[in-house]
Amino acid sequence: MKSCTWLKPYLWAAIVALLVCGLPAGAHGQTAAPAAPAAAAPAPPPLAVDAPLPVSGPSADDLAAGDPSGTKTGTANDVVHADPNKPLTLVDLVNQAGQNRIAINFVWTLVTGFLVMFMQAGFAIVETGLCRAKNGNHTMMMNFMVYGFGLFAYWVCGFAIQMGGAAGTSILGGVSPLSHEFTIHLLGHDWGLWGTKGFFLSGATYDVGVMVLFLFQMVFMDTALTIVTGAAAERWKYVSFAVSSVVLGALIYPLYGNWAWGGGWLSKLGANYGLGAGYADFAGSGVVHAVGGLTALAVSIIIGPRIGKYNRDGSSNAMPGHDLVIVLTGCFILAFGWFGFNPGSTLGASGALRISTIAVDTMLAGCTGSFGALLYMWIKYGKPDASMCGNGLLAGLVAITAPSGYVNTMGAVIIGFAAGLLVCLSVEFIDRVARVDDPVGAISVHGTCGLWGVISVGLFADGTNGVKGLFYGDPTQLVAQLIGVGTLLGFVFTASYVANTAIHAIVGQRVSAAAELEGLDIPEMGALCYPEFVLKPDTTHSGAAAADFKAGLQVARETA
Amino acid sequence: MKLVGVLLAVFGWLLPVVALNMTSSTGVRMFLCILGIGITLVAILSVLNKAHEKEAIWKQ
Repeated sequence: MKSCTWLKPYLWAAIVALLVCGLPAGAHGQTAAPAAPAAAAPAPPPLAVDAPLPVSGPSADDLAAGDPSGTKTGTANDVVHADPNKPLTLVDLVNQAGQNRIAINFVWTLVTGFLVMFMQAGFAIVETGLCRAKNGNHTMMMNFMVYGFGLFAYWVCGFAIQMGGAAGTSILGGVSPLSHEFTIHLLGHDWGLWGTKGFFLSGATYDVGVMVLFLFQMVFMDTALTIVTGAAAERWKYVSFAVSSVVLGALIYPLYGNWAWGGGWLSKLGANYGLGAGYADFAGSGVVHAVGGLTALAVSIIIGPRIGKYNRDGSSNAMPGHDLVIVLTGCFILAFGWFGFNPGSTLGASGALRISTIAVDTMLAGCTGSFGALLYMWIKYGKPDASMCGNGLLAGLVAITAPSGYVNTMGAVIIGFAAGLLVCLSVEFIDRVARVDDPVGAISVHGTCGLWGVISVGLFADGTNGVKGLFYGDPTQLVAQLIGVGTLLGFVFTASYVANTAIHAIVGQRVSAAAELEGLDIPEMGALCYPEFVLKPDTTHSGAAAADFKAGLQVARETA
Repeated sequence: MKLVGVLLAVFGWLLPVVALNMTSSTGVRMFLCILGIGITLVAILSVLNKAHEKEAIWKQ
């Protein structure tokens, strides 16, 4: 009994505390009973979002001692306070969560954009390695300056045309200033044609989210531009290259980009005509690669083949590049950069965890693309051809670019392998049947396999991310993709052809025959790429010379 | 012939786009898409390219 006496005050205190805390809960439970009218329910106690939170981080003394285990860094101390003189509140926490989400997405998109920018180096050395040494400076300088020409044109008007109506990209905070799309009403539907906000990135588009989107879209656009320099290498006049690149970056690329990505009519085919999810091109097999590849085809047709590429009977001569080491190194750089190209196209990592699937799809398709090309060349010609293996890798990567956000790994493997075979067939067709000279295979890698990538979305998309292809039960998606292919061929090629024909008429697209035979480094650029090399005389520039060279070679072999 | 090639290429593009309003049948739409792509490819690789090939440096 004595022990119970000293417990009494504590017991009473506990009962009072229970009553104080429990009554509101009981009252709340009663009002929730079905018999009580809803109108009579008292409002829940207001959430004190601005009330101080009873949390604190390590003290200044603790932090001064260092944090080798990392447990004292990244605590309540590091949450930004709206008012530094007041304690932390719930408002601060919510704002910090929003800020963190957008910050993660900004960092992800910017870093992947930087990877894509580095692909310019890969393109530069792949193309230069596949050209002859006498054109090394010229080819490198085209790849070097296309970055600047394209960037400037895109800043002036390209970005506005492409993304000026792209407001609502919530993953980057909304990019609300990009708020207007020029639209016409035709055949009972609205057809978005181009954006109208963001010229010079001025006015309201001086905005953090818009800047992230600009950087990412700009490096994509530059990839399309640099594709053309490969197909037209060794005979393209530098001034014409500059003008052509500006036109492509300012007008043609942005228009198709708007239709596919900027809220234009292709992206609305699903809503307007019930064609699946509308034209779907996740990272740009069509928007980037096919646009570049088809423009390369237009320019190559206009400027014609290199001297010595074709004999009088129409048969073609091989004109091997000068450095396979930099070709394959460049392919590796491009494959590395593709991890920015495809996973980066989510425009964020927070809330877009499929970046892991996209990255794996990307590496698998590149791998099987090189398998396909290697097998084709090995079986048909008896040797695994190095440059075609490199092109096979790139073909697989180009093809998986559009479907990477929508297909599973088995789909990626098939798409990549088919692209590896397709690029070999296409190179042979372009070279021997169409007789279009493409020194690096850009038309086949980016044009043909870019179109294949667009089509493959309509076949292999598994529905996981909102796009379902023919093999998973939706044939309408394939129709949307085919309309995209038709637009690439019928609009992009034609626009590029007309623009470059106009440039050809005004300034001429092709260098003189003398300059071409000498090599473009001195006539066009004023300096040799390899001044200490002794370059062989060109023995392939005419049928007679080629015959003499082959005869001499035959004699030399017989003598040996 | 170059102009014919360009016009034919544009026609091949517009054919399935305009036809979207004429039919809601997926099969017909798909057929018209393939037909349009075929016309465009012929226009580019056969008509337009052959017109340029006549002026090719290796034929002179």
